[in-house]
Amino acid sequence: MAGTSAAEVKTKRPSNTAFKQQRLRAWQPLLTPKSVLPTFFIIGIIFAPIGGWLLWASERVNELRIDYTNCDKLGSSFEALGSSQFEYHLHGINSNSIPQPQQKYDSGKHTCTISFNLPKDLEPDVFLYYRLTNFYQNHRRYTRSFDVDQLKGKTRSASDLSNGDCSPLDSHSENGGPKKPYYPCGLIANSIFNDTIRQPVLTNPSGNQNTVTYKMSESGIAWSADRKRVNPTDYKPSDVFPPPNWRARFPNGYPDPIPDLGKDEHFLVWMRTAGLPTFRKLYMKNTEDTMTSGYYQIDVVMNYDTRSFGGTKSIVISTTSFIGGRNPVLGIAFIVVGGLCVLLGCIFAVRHFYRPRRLGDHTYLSWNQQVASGLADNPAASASGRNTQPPSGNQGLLRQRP
Amino acid sequence: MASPSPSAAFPQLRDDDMSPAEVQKSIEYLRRHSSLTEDGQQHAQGDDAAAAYQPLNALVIDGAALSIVMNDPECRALMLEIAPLFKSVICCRASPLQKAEVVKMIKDGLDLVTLAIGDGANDVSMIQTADIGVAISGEEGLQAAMASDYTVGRFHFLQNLLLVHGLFDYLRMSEMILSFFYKNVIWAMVPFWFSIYCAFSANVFYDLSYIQLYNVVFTVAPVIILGCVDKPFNYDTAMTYVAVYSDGIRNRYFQWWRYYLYVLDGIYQSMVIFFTFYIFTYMSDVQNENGRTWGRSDLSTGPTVAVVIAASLCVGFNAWQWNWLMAAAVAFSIIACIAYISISSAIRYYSLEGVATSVMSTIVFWFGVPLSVVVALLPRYCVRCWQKMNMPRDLDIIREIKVLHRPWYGQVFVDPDSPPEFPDKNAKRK
Repeated sequence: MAGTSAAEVKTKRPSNTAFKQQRLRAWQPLLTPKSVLPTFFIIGIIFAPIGGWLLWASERVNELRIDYTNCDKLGSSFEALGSSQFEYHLHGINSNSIPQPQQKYDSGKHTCTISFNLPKDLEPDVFLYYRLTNFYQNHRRYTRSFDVDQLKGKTRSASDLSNGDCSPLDSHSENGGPKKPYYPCGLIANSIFNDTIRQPVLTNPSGNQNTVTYKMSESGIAWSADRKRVNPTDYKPSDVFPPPNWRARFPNGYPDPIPDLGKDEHFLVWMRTAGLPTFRKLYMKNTEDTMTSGYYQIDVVMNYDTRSFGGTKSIVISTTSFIGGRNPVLGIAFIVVGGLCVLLGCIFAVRHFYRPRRLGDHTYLSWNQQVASGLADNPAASASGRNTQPPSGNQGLLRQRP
Repeated sequence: MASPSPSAAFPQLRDDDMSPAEVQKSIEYLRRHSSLTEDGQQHAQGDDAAAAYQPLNALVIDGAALSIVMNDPECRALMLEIAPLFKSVICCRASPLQKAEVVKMIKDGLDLVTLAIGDGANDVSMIQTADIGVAISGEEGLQAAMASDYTVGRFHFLQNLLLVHGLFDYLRMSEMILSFFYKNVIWAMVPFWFSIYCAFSANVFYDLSYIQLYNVVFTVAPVIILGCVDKPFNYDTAMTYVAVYSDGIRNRYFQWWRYYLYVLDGIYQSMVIFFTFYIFTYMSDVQNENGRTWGRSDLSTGPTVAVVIAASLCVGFNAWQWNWLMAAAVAFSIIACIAYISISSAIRYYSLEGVATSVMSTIVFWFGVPLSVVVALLPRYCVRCWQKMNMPRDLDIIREIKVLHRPWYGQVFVDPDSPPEFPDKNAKRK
């Protein structure tokens, strides 16, 4: 931060441009009532209707959720669910008027049958999710527990994977045999949600059929980016073990050839770890047919134990709108902020109209305050502060060292 | 205080010089009529303050006397006590070592910030001893210039150096440092709130590339521009309204409580941004019409963009003026962040692959970011508006005078022969 050099040698003088001499033209924003008050009101007036619009969009979404965690404790005849175990949010229908869902359990087939009433038609697209609670897919050790190369298709040996991210589920030796890697290794793959949710069946259709299955497809549920990340593997079935929790699916190990996990969309959806401990994941969807109203039954083969970690599992059937799933908080937040801004604008306006401060009045300058009793001879000097007495002795202007 | 008789110890003194007793009496007179008592306490209050004026005498002490004063500890203490009372103290014919000694005595004894200006090789030790050393380059060579902190071309430029560049530098430094801490606090606290929901397992909330790029690319430009070229008004105004320089002396813009306010503001803003996206997501992870759900890196992209925007706008809001550099810096920050996300989401096998489609196609992102930024900046905006409307500081008033073209007084030259003016407490204000 040197000053300019001596003017005798003209060539050393820095050039006199606005940039180099810091004389750039600038916008000088002043926070005066004329700019502040409209700002508050404009923000309030913009946000509140947006909030109303988003709230309206959220109300249009139809959603129902049924908890079936404890279905396997029930008997083989239908029992009604408690009110804490289901939730209906259907546009235009009072939730209290909907009959309670019912569940029964077939212990031979480990199948829970959920029966519920759908009071109105659901327009496509209709999505069916499973929802887990208290499942920390965002835990630090958990989110790292997979091997990128293995999923890309490369053959990674047990020694490659040992002490890596996948441990403790990296490799395994059975009956004293050689160590073989798990494919896919890691905690994420092992803990995949393995209940099988069958397609909803309408039990009282109009017309002459007994039941009509509402066909929902299990493809197209994963993001395309997830699909591109998993390729067919080069492993042979005898080189690898399926993860422990996958034994039920593959009791004798993998068939030949090993199934392409990139085509298993449930796996891809599961591998995209959720951000919060309560989450839902897409299971199947129907983008063409209307889900007509009536009584539906869904069979769920119960393999997944959520009670062991204190969580619950539910089925969610939902439509979407342009804001996604049901989310009234979005609209409410905008309305609240809009109202808050208007309120603040009113407060500032009241304060401004009650004894407003004159802008740019040099008598407000601090060094003019203590010469208020008049310096009639030289007001110019006093106003610029060049010729005033120090406020309180000379200690006032002496600064302490930091 | 026992001192030898001056004529005996110093034969060069004339007979009409003051005797030690008379010197003592003048010192007492000074003490009584300044606002200091012997132990340095203020004793003049209220109306007496008007009567307590700074004497317009000068103290002249030459090198020989200075060496005697410096060698005697009692004399040093007395010198330290009464020297600040004078309008100016002139030490003439002092050796370079003595110059440095005087500066050191004032600096340490009174615990002050000192500035030394000189042009010759004999000033080098003084320049280096003082807190701020200013050299005048030219007539006597460049030795002083090489040893100094600042170099000017003329002695007269010291005025500009202090009143314009010094003031601007102080304002820029304080605002830049506070803003730097703020922007890091807001960034670092968002994962803290996330850890409440990831079982406190210290999971990385942001994608790692965001963390690398935040301080290096996304938010580097506005603070640098703020620290380099920001100023409340222009050069001439600073030279006119010189009393505003005392804002720097009194350290009104870099106090510890201001620092903690900025940090608290950063914590609040991070809380707003994280919880905005949390409450938008916790009901259903579905944010699109296609029904697919968000994962963790989707959840963190929204807050990243919101934090970059909030930090850049807040730093811009802290600035006094917006020239094209500042506008470009803020625009660059925001655009760089969004461009990085868009580009990196196209890279195969990259951790952020596909984020642009899953996040930027949602209403939650495009509406959640403005909402969280507005709510985050709202308290700071309100407090600053309230302060500027109702409790304006000198800088604010001067800016208003300049920008709104109110009457101002452009006097630069002060007549040194005009008599000192004392406030007349009985006169009515006109």
